[in-house]
Amino acid sequence: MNGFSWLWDWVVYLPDLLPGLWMALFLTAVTCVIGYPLGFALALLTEARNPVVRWIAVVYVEIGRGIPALVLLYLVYRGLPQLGVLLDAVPSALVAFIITASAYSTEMFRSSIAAVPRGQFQASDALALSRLDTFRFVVLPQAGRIALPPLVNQTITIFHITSLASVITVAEVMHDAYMSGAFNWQYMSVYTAAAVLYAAIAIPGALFAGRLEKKLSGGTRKWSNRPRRTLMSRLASARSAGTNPNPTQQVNLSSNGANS
Amino acid sequence: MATIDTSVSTQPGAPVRPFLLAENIVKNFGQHRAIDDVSLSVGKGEVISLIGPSGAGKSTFLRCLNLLEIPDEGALTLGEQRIEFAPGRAPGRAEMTALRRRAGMVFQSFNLFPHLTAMRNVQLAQMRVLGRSKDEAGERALALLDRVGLLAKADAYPSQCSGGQQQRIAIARALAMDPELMLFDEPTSGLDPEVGAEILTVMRELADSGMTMLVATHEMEFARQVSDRVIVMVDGAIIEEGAPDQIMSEPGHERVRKFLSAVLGR
Repeated sequence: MNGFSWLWDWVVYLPDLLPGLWMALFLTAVTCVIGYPLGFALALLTEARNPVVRWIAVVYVEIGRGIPALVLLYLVYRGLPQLGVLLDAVPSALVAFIITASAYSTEMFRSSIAAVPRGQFQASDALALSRLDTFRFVVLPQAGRIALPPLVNQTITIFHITSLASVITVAEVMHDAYMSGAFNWQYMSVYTAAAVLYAAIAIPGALFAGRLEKKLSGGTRKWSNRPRRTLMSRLASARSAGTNPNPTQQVNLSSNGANS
Repeated sequence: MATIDTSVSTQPGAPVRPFLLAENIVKNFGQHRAIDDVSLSVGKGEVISLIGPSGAGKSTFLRCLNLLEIPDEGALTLGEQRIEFAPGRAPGRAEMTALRRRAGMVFQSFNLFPHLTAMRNVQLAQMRVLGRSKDEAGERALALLDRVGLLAKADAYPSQCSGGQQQRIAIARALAMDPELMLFDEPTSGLDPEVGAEILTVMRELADSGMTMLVATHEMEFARQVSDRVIVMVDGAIIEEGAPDQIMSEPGHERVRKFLSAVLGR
């Protein structure tokens, strides 16, 4: 049955799309590496005392979230040249995606900092810790754990959004799929291959985010109630290996009791 | 008004010169006056229990003493340091830090840092605020955890400890700063009675060692047995104070009588 050959034929077209996959992963990586720290800085600025600074940050975030990534892509790639700013396709895509990623992650960072219980700040104050030390040693490690799972999900979304870059000629998966389809006329098989590639990255990523959330949120009593020996021996082995029991080793960040 | 004449000690042997002096402290939350012109003088080594119904301002008053709440009016003297308050004028950061590092606080909800082990909880402020080395802070942390009976829990995270254990770690954390004054904000209220007893034992030992302590509490037995003086707060003001036995057996104020009969069940 020729009509169903795409069910297995797509495997043949995977190699056509692999260069595009590397490009998509590259775009995702650069977007996150620049966009998330930018989003974090913006999260701090939205809480700034200076109203002008706060206002600029809020406007940036609202614009970044209010304009679809596709529109941003066209604005940067086709619009900016009219203003004398000429960027190649890949840098254009990166600029547009970084604006989107930073704006969306700002809210994530802001809310995760806000989710650190007030009692933590009070305890830090009572111990006379400076503001910077409170932030660095008390707030940030806890906010980081809260922000991590949504950040992984956000990264998957950005990976999906990179497919838009094909419209400005960036040679990522969709661009390769289009070219391959135009050549072979096997659109069903080629786009199925593209779908499989995206899903092969996104689904494990989402599962990982889900597990991470369970691990870090402390909402899973199961984990907290595991035999202590397991946890202690983990810590002990971390110690004996000469490493500090680093934050990722600590698994049950529970909110019970310790918070107000 | 609840001004206390500092030259007349209510307790035999209490020092004449106050170690902690709160003068006419006022704290408003919007329209609500949480602390209404409270004055209190505490001698070095004195143990004072603050009792009174919920919402009387006990916690707020304690929090004014280490500037977790900044009073709107009044003045605070701790040892040689004096801070005066006026509406809209907060003390400087350096002034607040200087006072806070001398006044340890234990909270009802423990407020341990959940991402740090018991040991690191006790170490952190020693290193960052007092500038102790990691080893020095670690040694002190272990000694204090030992003192509260939790040496075995040094490497455990707060979530791996019971409520009573967490509170004892919190006490060790506060003591690690070598405070001259300890403020306890209902330290046993969130705990089962028998677990609360563990905490009270630690506090009793601390009192015996000569620590100056202010304890907001509903534990009348503790107030009676351990404290030198009991202070009764109602509606943000001190309405009665005196020796524990005197307050418990012959309260002068009708509100105090009602409160005591409610908590003592008689």
